[in-house]
Parts: sequence; C-alpha cells; structure tokens
Amino acid sequence: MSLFADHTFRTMLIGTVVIGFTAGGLGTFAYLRKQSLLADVVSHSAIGGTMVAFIVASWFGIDGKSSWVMIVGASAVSLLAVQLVEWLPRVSATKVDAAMAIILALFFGGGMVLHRVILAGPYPNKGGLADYLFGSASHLTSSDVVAAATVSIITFTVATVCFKELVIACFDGEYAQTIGFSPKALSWVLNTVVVLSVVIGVKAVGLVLMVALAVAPPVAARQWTRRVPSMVVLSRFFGATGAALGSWIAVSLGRVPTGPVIVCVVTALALISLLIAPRRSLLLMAVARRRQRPSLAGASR
Amino acid sequence: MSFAMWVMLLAMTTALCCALPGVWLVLRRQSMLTDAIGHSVLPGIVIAMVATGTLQSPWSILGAALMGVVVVLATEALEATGLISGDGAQGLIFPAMFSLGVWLMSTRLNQVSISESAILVGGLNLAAFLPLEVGGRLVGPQYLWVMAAVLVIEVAFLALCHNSLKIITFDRELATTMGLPVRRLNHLVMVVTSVTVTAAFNAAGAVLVVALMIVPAAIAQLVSRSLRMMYAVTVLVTLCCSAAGSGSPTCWTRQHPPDWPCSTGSSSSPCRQRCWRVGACGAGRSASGASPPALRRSPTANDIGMTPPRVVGWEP
Repeated sequence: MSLFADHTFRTMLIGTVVIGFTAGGLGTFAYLRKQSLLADVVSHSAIGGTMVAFIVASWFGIDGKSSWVMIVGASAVSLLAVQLVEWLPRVSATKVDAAMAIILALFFGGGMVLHRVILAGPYPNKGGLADYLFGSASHLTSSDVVAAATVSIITFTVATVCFKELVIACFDGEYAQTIGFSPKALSWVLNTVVVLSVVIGVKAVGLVLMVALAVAPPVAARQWTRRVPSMVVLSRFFGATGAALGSWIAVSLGRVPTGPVIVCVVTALALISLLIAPRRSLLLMAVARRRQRPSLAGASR
Repeated sequence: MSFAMWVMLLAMTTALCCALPGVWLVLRRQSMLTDAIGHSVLPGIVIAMVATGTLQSPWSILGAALMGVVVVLATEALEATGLISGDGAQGLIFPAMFSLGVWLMSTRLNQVSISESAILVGGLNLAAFLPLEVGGRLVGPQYLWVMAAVLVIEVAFLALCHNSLKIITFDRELATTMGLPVRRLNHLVMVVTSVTVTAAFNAAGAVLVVALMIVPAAIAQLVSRSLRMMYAVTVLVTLCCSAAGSGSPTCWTRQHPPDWPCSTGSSSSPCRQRCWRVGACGAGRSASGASPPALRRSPTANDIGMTPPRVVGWEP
C-alpha cells in the first residue's frame, strides 16, 4: 500500500491505466475489422513520426520531447502510413500483407536513421529518445499523463458519438455506403482514433509492444460477450486491469521494464479468457467433444 | 581486403539470404510472418546467447530458430480454434514473446551484451567484428561464413522443393489432390524463414529483417511475369541495394570522426525502400516488363555519413 503514496508510481499507474483503457477500447474496432496488425504498422511508424516531430520542433525552439509534439507528429506520420497501406494494394500488384511489411519497415527504418541524425546533430535535449523503442513508464511525467488523458477523452467522445456508424463500417462497409455514409470519411475517423489511441502509449509501453495492448484486450473481451457495446467496455476494462497489474508487478519486482510486463499480463488475460470463458472456450469445446465421442462412435457402428 | 569490403560482402550475403525465402513469402501473402518471427525469436536468442555465450555458433542459431517455429505453430493452432478472427492470433502471440525476451534481457541475464536498439536494427559492423583465421590467413568475419552456410542450405532447399512449392503456393487444392505433403512443406518454409531471420538477427535486427526479406521480392513482383524472372530481379535488387547501402557510409570515413555510431543496417534499409517506391510508380502500372529502376539511391542514406569503426587487426 505504501507504493500508492509514491508520486512516481501514482503517475505511472494512472498513465498506463489510461493508455490500456484507450487502446483496449479502440483496438476493438481494429479487431472487428480484422486489421489487428495495422496497429503494429501504426506503432512502428510512430517512431518515424516522433523523430520528425523532434527535429521540426527543435527548429522552432520548442522542446521536441514534450508529449504534445510527440503525439501530433507520431499520429500524423502513422496516419500517413496507414493510408499508404490502404492505397498501395489498390494501385499496384502489391498485396496488403506485403504493403504492411514494407511500410512498417520503411517508416521504422527512416525513424532509426533520423535518430542517428539527431544524435549526431546540434539538437538540445536529445538524450533518452531511444526510450521510445521499449518505453519507460517510470519516466512518465504529470504533463504526459494529462496529454494522454486528453487524447483519451477525445477518442472516447468520438467513439461514443459515432458508435453506430463505426460498428456498421466494421461489419458491413457496403451497407454503410448504401445508407449514405461516406466509406472514406468513416475509414478516416476509424483510422484516426485507432492511431491516436496507439500513439499515446508509445512513450510508456514502447512502440514495439503497443500492438499487444490493442490486440489482446479485444481478444479477451470477445470471449465473454456477444455484443459490440459490451465488448468495447470489457476490452477497456481488460486493458486497464492489465496495465495496472503489469505496472504493479514491474515495480514490485524492481529493475524490470514496465512495458514488457504489462504486455505479458495482458496476453495472459487473453489466454486465460480463451481457455475458461463460458460459452466459447477451449475447455468447453474439449469437454463437448469428449461427450459427443461415444455417441458418434455408437452411431457409426 | 579491407574491413569495409568485408562488411559490404557480409551485407550482400545477409541480404541475399533474406531475400530468397522472401520471394515465397510475398507470393504466399505471408509477409507479416517475417515480422512475427523476427520478434518471437528474441527469447530464444537471449537464452541461446546465455547458454553458448555467442549467437554466431550454428547450434544457438538453430535453437533460437526452433523457438520461432514453435511460436508460428502455436499461432496456427490458436487460429485453428476459430476463436480469434483475422490476424488477431498473430498479433497476440508475437508481442508477448518479444516482451518475454526483453524481460529476460533486463533481469537475470543482463550480462548479455546486446544493446536495445541493436535488437531492432542490428549492427552490421559489429556483426563483422570477429575475424576468422584459417592457418594464419584472414578469411573474413566469422559471421560471413555463418551466413554463407545458411545461404547454401537455403538454396538447396529452394532448388529441391521448387516444383512442390510452386504448386502449393499457386494451387493448394491441386497440391492436396496430388498427395503432396502440404502441411509439412508449409512448416518447412517456416523453419527456413525462421533460421534465416535468426541468422540475420545480428546484422539486421528484428524489424529491419522484414525490409530485407520482403522489399526486394515485392519490387520483383511488380516487374516480373514469371517465377524465374522474379528470382532474377530479387537477386539483382538485393545485390545492388546492399552494395550501395553498405558502401555509401564508407565513402565518408575521412570526413567524420570515427567514433560515430554506425548502423549500416538501418541505412541500407530506407535505400532499398526507395528503390521499391520507384519500382512501384514506374513499372507497377504498365507492367510492361521494363528493367527494374532499382539503382536510384536514397539521398537520406547518404547524408548521414555513418562510419564503420576502426578495428585493430583489420587494417591492411
């Protein structure tokens, strides 16, 4: 309990919970569109955006490591990456999987090259940029948490206001078009909220691992419900719980990076849900199969 | 030969090693599998490094590669349950494995000397660091010979299974009807991919290996009409790009302080991506079979001027 009196731990806890809550909720939409790996593309391209934003901000004399600079830069570049992934298969023979792999590596490689440029150049306050690779939740400041919470509230509002439309776009894009919604606009809204929700976590959890926070909670939530609204709520709950548990375990163990632990906890939640959830779990399936075996054997005889 | 030349040779061998299985991954629409394997071999690599002290012995490469295969099989099994839709199974497993690897590295096993960014982008010059001497004569970096061995195995596999791979990739039903071991061959492709990714890990890292594997084959797909031509273009693009990518920083040696961090691996990757963009714009739509415009080099890779380290014992 004494942990909660510690300011650093409180900031970290609130920050990661906000991140888990947001990514879990918006990840549901990516999952329902069967585009979970798009979150991977987003989180990898975010490093390119972060570096670009750092350089541009330094030109204008702004601190390039402030969270707003990072969020704006990373989400702009990640959105570009997502649009490219959708655009390439339309105009060339490249398939969507190859497009994802190429864009991911292009933006990530570009980010790493820019990182070298920054390290070699005369930029102030350039230390610690490499932390974005694996995240460092203990370095979260109050202003980072405020920025993450603000973005979280924005995405929450958008997702709540446009809930029906987004769900239709996920399940049946053609129907959405028939009843008069522009598929382009819907896709933009969806991509933007997903990108924003992934980007806010990059500083704390790390860009490589953010994909887990967008994929595992929806997988877990899907096991316990059949309806989209409750799935979003549950997914947010799993994301937040996993983040809180993960930060607590990481701090208790000491000298362990928080991001990886959070990811392990969230994945464990998903695997447990796959195993034991009511109605559609691996365990129930195995039991049902065993029960049916004698009757099937009898029928064939 | 100077150190820089050996590094260039190593870059070309590594890139070729990655690009050849990439042809099949692109054709089979499994490009993101490289990303998944690249991330999930990390725990295997950490364990292998702790056990053997180096990642350059063939056994540790094989051990770590097996880890990648196990992860792919687990993902397949998870997909087969039908409980997870789309690419969710893949997105669920590989970040977990990767974080397990990072976790392992940070705790008990922190004597393992891999830096965090080296995991993601590798260090080509560092990989070439250990020289191999045979009978008192220098015959290049040890790592070069490891990669060469992987390349030989790979070429043997691709040559032996060429026809079956073709049938399985383009007409799976036919392959099943013909009684080909479809599942086993699929797994073999994954084993080969996994061994390649693991072997290339030192030089290219977990993320850039994706570029090395997929980009040349994707360029080749845009301009070629036959499998043979796709192979030829892939090899051509790979060799040109890796030579240009690893060669360009060495030209700058005299103009910059030698203690700069060097990452030829990350500089050659954007370079090849630029080539792919040019290929996509120029030849993709017309598909007229024009020669690949692959030799245009990226200015970004050039501007940085990263230098290889001065290695004692390598200077002539």
